[in-house]
Amino acid sequence: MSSVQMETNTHTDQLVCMAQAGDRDAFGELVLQHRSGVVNVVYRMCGDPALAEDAAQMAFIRAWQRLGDYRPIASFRSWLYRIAVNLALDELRRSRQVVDIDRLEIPSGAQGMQTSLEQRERQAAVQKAVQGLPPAARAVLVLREYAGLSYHEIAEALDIPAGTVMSRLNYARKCLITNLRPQMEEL
Amino acid sequence: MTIHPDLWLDAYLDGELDAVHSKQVEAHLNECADCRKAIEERKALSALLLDEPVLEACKPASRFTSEVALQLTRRPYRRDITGIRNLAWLGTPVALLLVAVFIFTAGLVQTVVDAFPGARATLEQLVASTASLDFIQGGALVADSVDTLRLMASFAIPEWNVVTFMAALVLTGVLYCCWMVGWLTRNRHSQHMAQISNCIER
Repeated sequence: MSSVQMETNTHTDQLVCMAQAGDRDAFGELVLQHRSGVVNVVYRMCGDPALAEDAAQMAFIRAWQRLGDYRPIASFRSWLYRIAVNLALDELRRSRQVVDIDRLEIPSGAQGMQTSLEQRERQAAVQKAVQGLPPAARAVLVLREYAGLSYHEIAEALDIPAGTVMSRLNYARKCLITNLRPQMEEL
Repeated sequence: MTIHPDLWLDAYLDGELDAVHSKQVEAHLNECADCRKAIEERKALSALLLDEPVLEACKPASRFTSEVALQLTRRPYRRDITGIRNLAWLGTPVALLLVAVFIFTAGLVQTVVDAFPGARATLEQLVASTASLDFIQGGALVADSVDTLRLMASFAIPEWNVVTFMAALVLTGVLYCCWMVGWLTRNRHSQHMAQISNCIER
């Protein structure tokens, strides 16, 4: 672990400790630190940008409510992502997958950029393939590929053994390789 | 290596394997064209996934944070069970020590009682007959004798043999060790939290 990363972790630990004591400003700083990560994790899980932002806010509120139960044995990030993933799964279950994977939107950030039509089609195909994965495998893939969590952190976040992380990731990648072969060749 | 280390390929690519396993996978990759292809496919997939843009939040950061802040309760929810927890931590070893003392004393009293033929039966009869003595206003001496008899009987009556005696002792010892491990882990966590508090104060 680099010294910069260690310093960041200590700073996060301090903020968490202060937030646990009821410091709302410290929690606000934690929200700012992890906002982008949580929004993206939820978005990759449910595929709806508007829902992702609302669900991310809900995840932070739930994190505040459960902050008393957090112990620094696990990293704060994986603990927070666990809440976010569970919330996204709850949302998916509640809406019974009403998110039509054929009508997935490319986020506005991408539209702002001058992306070519093929690129947009490719991104839509990737999103469709990711959304087509079973939720358990999708959660592992999202936490690894998009959130950059280690296997140990994913195991902590999803409360599963590291071996299960490996097998689910392997399954998810194999499915995606099969479904996205033409796009992979284009790239 | 004739079996394809399918699961290990992902861990190898993600840098999650230790040096020994990494070398094993590398050795296999040198020999196996299929696995080399699988690695290339996984790399291409990662590149494709990362090609997707990061979702930029529609709401500005300040609005996002203030909307969250508006819905926060005054303090994070925390169950105040500190008193019960401390009592449990202190009570557990005391209870275990009492159990161990009971086991030892029961064994000792039983050995003494069993050394005299018929002593156990007499003792049981005595305890049964003393039940009526509760109502006698015979002063402290009588009451104390009755209590002592009852206590002796409670130690002597259980039918301990070597196996149950040892099993009970081992179980008590194991529980005591578990408590010690828990205590050490708890103390380490407390020290960590104290360090963080010190950092904050500074």
